[in-house]
Formats: sequence, C-alpha cells, structure tokens
Amino acid sequence: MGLNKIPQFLLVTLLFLFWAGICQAGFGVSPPWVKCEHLLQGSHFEQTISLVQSDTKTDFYATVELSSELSGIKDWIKIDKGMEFTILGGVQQFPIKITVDVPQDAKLGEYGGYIWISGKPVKEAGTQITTMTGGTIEVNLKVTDKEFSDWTLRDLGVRNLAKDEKTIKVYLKVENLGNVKARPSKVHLDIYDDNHQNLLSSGDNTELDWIPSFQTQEITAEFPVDLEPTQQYWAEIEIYKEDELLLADKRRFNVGEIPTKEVPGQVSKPLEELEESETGLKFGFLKNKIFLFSLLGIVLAVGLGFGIRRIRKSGIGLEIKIKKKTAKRKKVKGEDD
Amino acid sequence: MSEKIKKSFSQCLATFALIVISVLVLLNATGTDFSVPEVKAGEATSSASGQVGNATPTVSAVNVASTTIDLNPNNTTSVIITGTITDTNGGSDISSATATLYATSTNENCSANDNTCYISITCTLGAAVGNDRNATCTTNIWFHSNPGGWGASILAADNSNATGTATDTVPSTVNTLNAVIVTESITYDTLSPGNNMASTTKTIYATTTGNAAIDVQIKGNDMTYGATGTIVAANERYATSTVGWVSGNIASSTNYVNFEVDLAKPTTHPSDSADIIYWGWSVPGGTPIGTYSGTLFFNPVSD
Repeated sequence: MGLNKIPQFLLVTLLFLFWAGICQAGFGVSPPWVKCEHLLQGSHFEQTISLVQSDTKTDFYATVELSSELSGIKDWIKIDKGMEFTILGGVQQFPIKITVDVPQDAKLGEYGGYIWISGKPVKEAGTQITTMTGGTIEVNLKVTDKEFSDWTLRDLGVRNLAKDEKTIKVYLKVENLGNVKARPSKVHLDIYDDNHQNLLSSGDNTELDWIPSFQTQEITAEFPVDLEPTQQYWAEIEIYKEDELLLADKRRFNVGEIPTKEVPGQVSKPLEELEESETGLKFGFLKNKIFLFSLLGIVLAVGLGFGIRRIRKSGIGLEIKIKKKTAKRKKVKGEDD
Repeated sequence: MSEKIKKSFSQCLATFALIVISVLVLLNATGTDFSVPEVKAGEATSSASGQVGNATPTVSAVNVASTTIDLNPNNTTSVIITGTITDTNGGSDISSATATLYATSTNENCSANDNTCYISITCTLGAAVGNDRNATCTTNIWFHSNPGGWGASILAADNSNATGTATDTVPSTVNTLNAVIVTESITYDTLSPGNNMASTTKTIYATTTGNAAIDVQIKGNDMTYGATGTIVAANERYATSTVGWVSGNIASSTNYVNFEVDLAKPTTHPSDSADIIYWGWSVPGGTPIGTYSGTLFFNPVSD
C-alpha cells in the first residue's frame, strides 16, 4: 500500500465505524415536494408522497403541521390520512395523497411553505435529550390564468385477444401535466405476422379519451381486426403528440390460446443436449428394432463361437474325436485282418 | 486339421461380430437413421431434405414495472424489469436473459455504478408460449441511486448462443428522496441554575440516507422535569462547530428552522455524506433541581 493511500484507507475505515456507531432509525420523504406552476382558479391537483423509514421495528405516530406561510391557503390543502396518523411497524413505505383544490376566487400568484411530518417523542430511560427524525414537504404553488397543455406517456402495451375477438386494444398510461384536458393526437398501429414479415393490418385512431388536467389515467386505442386465432402477432405502435412522432415501439400479442410448454428457467442448454455432451454418444438407436435384432444375432453368434472354443479347450470335443478316430482305426484294422 | 479349421472359424466369427457391432455403434453415434421409411401403397416415393437455421431471439416490451420508484432510506429497494423474448425456432429455444437498469443520463452500455447503473441482473424466464417467453428480472438498487429517469434493457440468448437485445422506450422515474439519520440522544453538562455551557460541545451526527443534497430543519420541545419543572427550548443552542454558547443558533419550540449543513448527495453505501451539529444549553436562574428531558426534531430539506 502506497503512503498516499493510507489517509484514504483510514478515512473509509473511520467513516464506516462512524456510520456503524449511529445506525439508528431514519426517516425520509419521496418526493419531498408538492409543486405545480400551472394551477388555474378551480384546479384540482394531487400528489402522492411516500413517507419512508429505514427502521420499521416500531410504530411511527405522525403529526402533520403546516408552516405559517401556508396559513392563507390551508383550506386548499387536504391530506387523505388526516393530520395525525400511525405508520405501523413493518411498513417501510407509507403513501399519503395531498390534494390541492384552488378556489374559483383565488388570487393569482405564488404560494409556498412547508408541510411538516413529525414523530411522537419516545422517552428513553437514562437519556436527557432524545432526537426524532421526520419529513419536510416543500409546497410551491402558482395560480395563473394562462392555459398550459402538456402530457407524458408512462406506459403502453397491447392486450391479447380472445379467440373470436375482432378489436385490438392498445393501452396507454398518460400523465397530463397541464391545466387543461389533453390526449395523444394519434395512435398508429401496424400488425404483422408471427415472423414479423408480412403486414396484415394497419390503422390510425385519433379519437382517444381525454385526460383531465393533472391526472394520470389509462386509455385505450381500439382498432378493428380480423386475425387468425391461435396465432401470435407483432404490433408496431406509433404515438403522436400533435404532428410529432413521440414514440415508436413494438409489442407481441396472441389471439386465442397458444400452447404453453414448461421449460427450465435460466439454463444455458436443454437437459437432453447436456446428456449427449457428457457421454458423447446418442442412445436413440437402442429403440430401433432392426438394430436390436442385428445386435442380438451377433451376440448369439459370438456366444456360439466362444462356446465352441471353450468346449474344445476343455477337452470334451477332443475326447469324442479321439474315440471316433480309435473306432475308425479299429474298423480299418479289422478289415485288414 | 479339422480341429484347426473349427478353431479358426470361431475366431473369425467373433472378430466379424465385434467389427459389425463397432460399425453399428459408430453409425448411430454419427446420427445415421436406421429406421425404414414408411411407404404408402400407390404412392411414388421421393426424398427431400433441408436444414433449419437458427433464428436470433428478439426482445420487446422491455419495461420497468413501476412508473415511479421511491427509494428506501439507508437501504435498497427492489426493482422489477419485464420483457418479452421471441424466437421463431420456438419459445423453448430461448435459454437465458440478463438485464441492465440505468439512469437515462447514461445508456444501456454503462459500467456498473450504484448511482447510475446496475448490470448483469438475472432474469427468470416463464413458460414457452408459442415462440415467446416472458422475462422477469429483479434487482435491488441503493438509496443513493440518482433521481430522475431510469431505463432498462434486456439481453436474451438462445440455445445456439445467438443474442438479441432491446431497451425500455418509456423510462421510469426514481423520485428524489430527502432522508436523514441522526444520533439518538445526547446529555448536556450538569449546570447550576443561572449558568450555561461555555461552548457547544455536545455532538449530534447527521447522515444523509437519501439520494439528494440536504440541509436540516430543527426544532425542540421544551425540557421538562416532573409536573412543573420546565426549561424552554430556547435555552438549547447549536452550531456547525464548537462555538461559545451565546453565539449558537437558538432552538425554536414552535416552528422548524432551516439550518445550513450542506450535506452532499451520498455516492456510496454506507453513506459518505455526514456532518456534526454541536449543541449546548443553559439553565435559567430559579430552575428547580432535577434531570430535565426533551426532544430535538430533525427533518431533511432540499439544499
């Protein structure tokens, strides 16, 4: 280790020891704000915020306060869980929904302040000053009379079709960021066969549902189709914002039931191939009748051959031959006599 | 002579048999088909052959399951990535998949980094449905993962080791997390009424456990002893260093007050972003004897 590395090493070690020594409950807020710059008079705005804990062993008794800067708009702000609630032990992420309802007669301008989430103190025996961590939610609101239109795509997909279904549905999850209703201007769909080679159907849908201001909703773009059942297809989707192509993507979908086959999960080779590679031989030929009969015949022939050889070696065959030869000689001798 | 002939015949037969067995085994080992083609009466027979090539797998519908991700402070958070893998050789030809999760400030070819890039994420493959298999890939990302857009990619392989890849076209958002942990307790120096600690020497460590730079907001409860003894919170003072008690910031018992500690965004775990807040107290004259206790509240706030 070089000398210049020693301070770094010590720093890291000390940091770890320091961190380990203060490993107590922590608290956080995600996202830590309620922000909207495009509120109109009468607008409704929602923000979901997660209150998150690093230690969930005990219940967290929360109280909510609004900072004095928000006193003028406190009636606009509602928290779905109320101003006091309990986050039960074991719950790491606790969502709360904060809604802002701007009155029709609200004064145009900017409003800011804090929403504070505090825990109820728990006195520990033998300690003088205990500490509590909580969350601060920053509030930044602007009431304007200018309309603002924008949206973003959060998700898209294509649903499988039932066997006789004649409408394909492309679903879009759209977040309206503006203070007026909004929607994608067009969804274009091309349907291809299973091999992604032949275009089977094509169409546009410009009559999508509107998304209310500041809302996130799922909408569907429907297209009439007449596709062969029990087949798989490709859908190429294009989403347009005004005249601009916002996104192009492809999805798979099925029409009717497609045969399903269970296969081992994360394997590099199927089991059959693994067996072959381990032995280096194929054993399918054992099921072949011609081969088996041939093999049987050969085994019998070999057995017969070895059998004869053994008989001859053991002398039985030799004795018979000698007896035959002796009888033959006697016969010849008798004839001579 | 006859004996020799018989012996030779047996040996020849055995040798021949061994040769035939060897040939048969070899033919089978090389894949020779021993089956007899089925011939239907009245039909002319012809043979045709062709080789089916390997198709490269195609990946689509790569998606991070949550459109927004809230991190857990000082810990990891599970993130699921899904995708569809297609292989025209059949879904069962798809053998494996891995995923990458990355901040959109980088790209899918990023190097492993717990702030911006998680690579080699193992995927579980579902049953083969026709030519498809769904991939589900799960990873745990750290509390200091950068806030903002995050995308994913999936790399799939088939049994011939051909690969295909695709990326997420609709990125998800990792939300900003303001989080802090602090020392659990402190005990001030024992004082006689009408005195104060000379300087702020009692330390409270504050450590950032989220993914953003923070300051803290502080308030305190009045300190109490029994039913009647009270020392108001304003007698507690704090600073970013050891200073004379009179120079410290006065703790408020009514509102949280911003305190600039400038804790940077952590870049590793355990958190590498911590600071010390130094505390001291005073005991007003006329305070009854006793051990007074109170609570200090710390909230993280965006720097």
